[in-house]
Amino acid sequence: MASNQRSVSFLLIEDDDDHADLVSRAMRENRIANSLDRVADGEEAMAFLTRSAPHEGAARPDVILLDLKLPRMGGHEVLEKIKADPELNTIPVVVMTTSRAESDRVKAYGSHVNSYLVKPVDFERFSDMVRQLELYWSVWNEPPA
Amino acid sequence: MAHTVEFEHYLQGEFERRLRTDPAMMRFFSGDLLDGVWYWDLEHPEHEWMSPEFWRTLGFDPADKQHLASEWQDLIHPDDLATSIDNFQKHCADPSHPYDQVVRYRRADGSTAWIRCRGIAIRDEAGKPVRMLGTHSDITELRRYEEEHLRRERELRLILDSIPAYVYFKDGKNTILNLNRAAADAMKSTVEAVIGRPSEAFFPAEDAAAFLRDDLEVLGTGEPKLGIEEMHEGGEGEARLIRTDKFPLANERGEFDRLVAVATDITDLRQAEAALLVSQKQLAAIMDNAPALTYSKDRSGRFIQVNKRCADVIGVAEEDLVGRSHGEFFPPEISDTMTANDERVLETGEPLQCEEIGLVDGVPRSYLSTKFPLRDADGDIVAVGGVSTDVTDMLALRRELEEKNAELERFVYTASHDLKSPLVTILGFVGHLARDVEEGRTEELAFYASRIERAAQKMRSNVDDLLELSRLGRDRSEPCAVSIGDAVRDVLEAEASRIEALGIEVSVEIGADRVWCDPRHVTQVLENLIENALAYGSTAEAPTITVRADATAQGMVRLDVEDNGEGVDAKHADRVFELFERLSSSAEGTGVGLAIVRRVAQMYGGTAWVDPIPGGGAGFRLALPTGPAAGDERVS
Repeated sequence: MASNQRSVSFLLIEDDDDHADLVSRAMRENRIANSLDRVADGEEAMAFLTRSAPHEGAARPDVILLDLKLPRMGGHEVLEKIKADPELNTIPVVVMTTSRAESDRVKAYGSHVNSYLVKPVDFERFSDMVRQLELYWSVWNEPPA
Repeated sequence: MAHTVEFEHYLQGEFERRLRTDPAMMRFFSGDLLDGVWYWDLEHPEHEWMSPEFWRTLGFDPADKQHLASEWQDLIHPDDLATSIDNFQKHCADPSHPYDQVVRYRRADGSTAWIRCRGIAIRDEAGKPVRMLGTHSDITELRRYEEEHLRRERELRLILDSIPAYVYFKDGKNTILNLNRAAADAMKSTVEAVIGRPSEAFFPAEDAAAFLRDDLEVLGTGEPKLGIEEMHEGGEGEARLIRTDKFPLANERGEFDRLVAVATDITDLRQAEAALLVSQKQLAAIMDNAPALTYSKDRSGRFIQVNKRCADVIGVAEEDLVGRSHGEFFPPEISDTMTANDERVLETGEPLQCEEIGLVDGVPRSYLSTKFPLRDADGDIVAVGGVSTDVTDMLALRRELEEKNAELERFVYTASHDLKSPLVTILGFVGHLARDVEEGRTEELAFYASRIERAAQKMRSNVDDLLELSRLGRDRSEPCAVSIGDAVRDVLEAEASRIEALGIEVSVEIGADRVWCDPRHVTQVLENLIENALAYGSTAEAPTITVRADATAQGMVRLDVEDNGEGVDAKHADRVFELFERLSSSAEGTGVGLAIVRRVAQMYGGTAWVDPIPGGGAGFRLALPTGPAAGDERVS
């Protein structure tokens, strides 16, 4: 790996346990020294990011991976809240969803999402996407601070 | 020669004596009384004496004129000179032939003087004319007056003949004194042939008698008689309706001795009026049966004409609405818009299409109005016409259709997303499984298989639920009376083991048992609501579920399923009824159940909603119809 590789901490906001497991497995296989936290709905995500109960000790993530279809608080609402919060709006947010709908894309970019990815149904492509994602954020991307 | 003449009166003798001896009398006759005297020597015809007045009448200075016949012969009109000479010769030959003619002279200023010229020949003892004595009378003024009179008569005739009405002048004896050409034509005669003849000569005796009666009435009262309507036979033997006005005419003594009758054929007018009335009635019938409101208003906004529907909607009789303005029937916030639209049409003169709100029985309704200017014969805008169509129901349908379309879009979007999601899982774990097998690793194979199976099961239940949801709209059985109590017992029985395992206390309170539905719908609603309560309401320490059915004031039965679990946050209250929405990722279910509940409620004209329960928990509610009165029903 390139010498300028950093360790990046991801926060995965995903209600589907299996999808979370697949992302986590893909990352492990990539053997990049990144970390992954996962929360299962929008409200829990906000608690994690604002270090409220039950996530008082949570660390600030470097990159947020956000599913759109979430119980209690939907992905779009989570994105709006993050981008409206001066403490959180510098954290890059990558939407990762099964939805390719234009309405979702337009709405997400309108809320200043940093990237929009559609989960590939195919296993190899799914793994490849997660690998590229990790490399991009840990090697190529320059963080705000 | 001395004659002794006997005079009738002594003054006559004196007059004749003085005339011979008194030059003043002679001057009076030749100068003041006459416009010229001439005395002609027939033995020397070039010599002729003319009095000074002779020349002054023709505008000449007598001093400039010689006593020669050529002086006047140069001024007389050549035609009249010929007539004069002719008369002169005849008179000379026969004294009983008068020398008397009107001749034209050219005056000094070039104008024409009309002169009556009379004369007598003075004869010698043998009877041979030796002198000719004559006088001139200037009749130019008289002549002009006569010409003027003739001209006026011609004009009157022209006017009379150009009047489309029949005009007669009559005396009080039914005699036609004068008439115009139209009248003569109608009598199939000529003006000349009719004048002076009695009405009886041209009209049936009965009609003529009626004319005379009216004539005598007008002459007797001295008042006009207007609008006399009589039927007469027309040129082709057809019946014609004639309207006559009669006016009395007074003579110089102020006696009414003549009258003028002006008669008009109003047959066509009456027919046109009748036809107009028919077409107006037909138009009114069309207007009254039109589904729209039609009306016209004058420039100050007062109704001129309204159709029945317009009057019905405003709630005032048509005849009471005319003359009043919309401001008297609608509050300012509604009538101001109408006024503004009317005024815009009056200002621009262009038709205007606009949306307006009206009140029907106090309920606002939406109208699509077309307003347009109404003009008089000169093209000036005198009123605003309008056609307003009630589009409230159409707008509601459009909104409903838009909502349905949005719902369908959401459905397709959600369904595709939620069907794709398990596929990602299945193919993901199949990939891991294949790779582990290839690399000879076996420890996780069972785990992969379980995940794959779970995702496949989820997909199957998603598909099943979607099918169930889509069937709701398609396979509808006839509604019938359904017992809610029985349906609740059936569902609770099916879930009995689960209820026991979760330690949930269930209470059922049926205040109104009967609903009028497709029985499957009642079962589906109860299954889904009770399953939902079991899934989300069982988190309390002492979990309870209450099922209640009560009659509502609107004649429906309200169904409540309440739990004492976490409850539903007010901000999610609507979202929980949407497809594939779940409040917890850990809870079971596909997220279709509540969508089915709401869809059923909507199919019966209502909706389903959720209220928070004081002290914690959620209350899911919907209303179902009770249907026709008991006795007229088929029991499920």
